[in-house]
Amino acid sequence: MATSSILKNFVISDNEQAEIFANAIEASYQESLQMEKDEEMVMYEELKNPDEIMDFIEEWKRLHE
Amino acid sequence: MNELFVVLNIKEYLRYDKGGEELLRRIYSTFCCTKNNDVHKFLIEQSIDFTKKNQSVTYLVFTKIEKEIVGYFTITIKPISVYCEGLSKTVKRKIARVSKLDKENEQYMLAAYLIAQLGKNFQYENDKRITGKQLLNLAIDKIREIQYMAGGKVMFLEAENKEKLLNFYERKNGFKQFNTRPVMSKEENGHTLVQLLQVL
Repeated sequence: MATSSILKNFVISDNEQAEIFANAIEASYQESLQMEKDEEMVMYEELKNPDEIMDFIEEWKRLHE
Repeated sequence: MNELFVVLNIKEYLRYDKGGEELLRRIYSTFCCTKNNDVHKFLIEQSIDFTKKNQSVTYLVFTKIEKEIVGYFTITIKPISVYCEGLSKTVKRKIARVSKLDKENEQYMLAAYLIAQLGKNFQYENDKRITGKQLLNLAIDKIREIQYMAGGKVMFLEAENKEKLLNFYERKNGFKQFNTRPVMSKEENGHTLVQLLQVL
């Protein structure tokens, strides 16, 4: 991971690189068609409601400060 | 490891709490990623600014009960363009699965999602409360949600060229290598990043 990734443009102009890119797309595309994926279910909730967010933050302060 | 996690989009929090930056920094002071200095520095020094400027959005992941920050991920939208001059029909056909040809500029354009940062919190052994796969799946879940609303067919990331990391992304999580990029900046100490993608 690199911060510079966010600021960079991703351009593939070389034919050899384009072929590697195309093969990666094809391999991943074929895998994406398989019904059974080894995806570990993660239990989580995302805070979106303002009251929920502020309650969470207050609770964080109580526990950590 | 069946812990329930709470995910917080820092943009959402900053919207509701105008003085929220200071509190976020206090939360960040409980985060430490010794394994990758860029992952550590980005959260502490840049995640708020990048989020405020809409360059990326950072999501914090906490345990539900103790509200310990166990990790974070950062997502942004990045088009990938591929020049098509001189490409074989087979290569064009494969690329066209996930992109459209811009005939005027002779290039394929892909709407893609970049997992810009992904890091666990190693302070107080909080890294043991979430697996790398769980954290990655949280990021992918979020990308799928955005994909449903905005389109796009590919997600990608740039990883350090380390066997353990590449094994994690490739063998354990189905990403495919497609390029490398040398990094020259002083901040990131000269090294090479490996670019990996996955079709959504």
